[in-house]
Amino acid sequence: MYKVGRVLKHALIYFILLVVFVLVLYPVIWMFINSLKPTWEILTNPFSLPTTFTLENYITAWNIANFGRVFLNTVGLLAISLSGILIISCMGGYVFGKLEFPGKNFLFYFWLAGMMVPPHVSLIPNFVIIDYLGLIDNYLSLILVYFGSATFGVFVMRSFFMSVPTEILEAALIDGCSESGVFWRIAVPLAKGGLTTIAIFYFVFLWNDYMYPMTFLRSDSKNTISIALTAFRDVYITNWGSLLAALSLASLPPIIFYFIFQRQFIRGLTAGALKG
Amino acid sequence: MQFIKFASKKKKQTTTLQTKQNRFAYSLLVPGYLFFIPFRLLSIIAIFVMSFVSWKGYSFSTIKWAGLDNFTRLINDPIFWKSLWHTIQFVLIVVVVQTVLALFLAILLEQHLPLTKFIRGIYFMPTVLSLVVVGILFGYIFSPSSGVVNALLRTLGSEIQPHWLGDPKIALYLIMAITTWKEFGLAMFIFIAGLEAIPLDLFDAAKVDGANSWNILRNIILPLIKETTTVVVILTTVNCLKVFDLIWVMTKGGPFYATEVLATRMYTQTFNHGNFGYGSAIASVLFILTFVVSVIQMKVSRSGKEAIY
Repeated sequence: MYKVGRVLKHALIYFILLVVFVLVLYPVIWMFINSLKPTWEILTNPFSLPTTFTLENYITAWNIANFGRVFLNTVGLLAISLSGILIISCMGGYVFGKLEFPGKNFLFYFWLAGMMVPPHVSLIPNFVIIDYLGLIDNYLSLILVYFGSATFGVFVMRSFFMSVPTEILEAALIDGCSESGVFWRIAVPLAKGGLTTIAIFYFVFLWNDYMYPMTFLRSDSKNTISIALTAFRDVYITNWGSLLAALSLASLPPIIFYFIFQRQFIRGLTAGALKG
Repeated sequence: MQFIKFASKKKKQTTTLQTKQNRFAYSLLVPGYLFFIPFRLLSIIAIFVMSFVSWKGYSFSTIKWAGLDNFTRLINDPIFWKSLWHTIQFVLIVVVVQTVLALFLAILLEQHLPLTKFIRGIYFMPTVLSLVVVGILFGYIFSPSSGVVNALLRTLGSEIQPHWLGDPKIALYLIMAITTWKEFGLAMFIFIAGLEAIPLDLFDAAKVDGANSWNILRNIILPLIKETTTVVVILTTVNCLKVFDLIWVMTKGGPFYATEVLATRMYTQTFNHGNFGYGSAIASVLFILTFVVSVIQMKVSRSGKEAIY
């Protein structure tokens, strides 16, 4: 009797998990499958596997939406912003986590206050500054704002450095290493775990950001992926095949990275959610 | 924490060495503050100051002091109240649905049956997708004429062909559902971490005492993950207050303001109508709401975070 109950219970659990599993996965799978069909087949037969397998949609999306350029733009912007954020986070985290100096608490409270400003609220003031500096339609506008968003990174690195034993750093100092030497040669190499966490969090944030690029950039040649997708959608609204191909192209990098670095992704994004 | 001070005592050159070390600490902070002060910290002051001016943007010479005009306008603007109400609805419904769903699935996954590791990995996947992709994709799936859902309804022989995003009665709820689809995985993993922190012998002891699943949920799980739940609720609340991308991509606040929320109202007023002062006033309201929730978060999150790490 007990055993039958157990089997039933497990069957019920699997059934519920499976329903959610299909609801979560199916739209994404559907997007990939249909991106390989011609548009007429998507419309007449949206649920089947492709009978006419084609990469035409990808070619159209790549050429018309200028995806090569868009990818290059996004990756370049991401690389510069991410490096800056990592450097700022590493330095700030080390200072707040390991050093003693006058005004430390005061400076740290400022940092805390800044973390409470949602990006939506700073959008208007940031726009005014960027416009005043004449940086509208310039990548520098986004880079500056992204550097300013390193608050969360500093936070994570601070707690990370606090867990690094002080003895290691002291030993290096006594052996005649300079303060900056201790930081660059000892502390930074020890911080790889923390840096991975924030790199992943900011990768997802920067790759997917929409509001800031939409507000700051103007010319088509400077489009990042999010703007390129909406622009493409607005023009090719009926060309579902190409649209789905464009969506698939944009989602592939995060999805592939996610399946390779699943543990780090989950850690990075939950940490980001809790502190950011 | 004391290591620099300790080191300086050893070398017996306290004053000069200390200044040198302080200078090193400050110099490491300079790059961070260089961007943080103008683009984050200043925003808090700027958004409130700008709420009191009348300005069409672009040229500073056209700024006029408007006193409380923007706030009077806010109070008399039916669309503002509508968007505030939609934001509150969004928070209430999504927080309840998402928290309950995430906890329920976390408990099921924590039974450690085969394949659950794989399943939970898939559940997290939408979290890494961009809201723009999700918005366009679901905009198509729910498109009234050529969408998949209505095609499915037709195949099933249903006469009803809802307009989904075009229907003011449905649109907001549909966007809430899509938000939950994208974000429940994150809440679920926070719950999983909270559940894994519960000592296993508690469950064993309860079973020995003859407790059934409901007793265990009611008397062990729920009291012990109270702090985790608070963290999830606050996190979801903040995210829902900020909802923008998905609505902007899918409906731009329409049809007939049916999906207008504070963030979209702020954006349209500022950047489409050029009312920088009025937009800032809406942003101030948004900031105050987020601020209140963040302060609550700071108060309760310490214990909650300990449950995670």
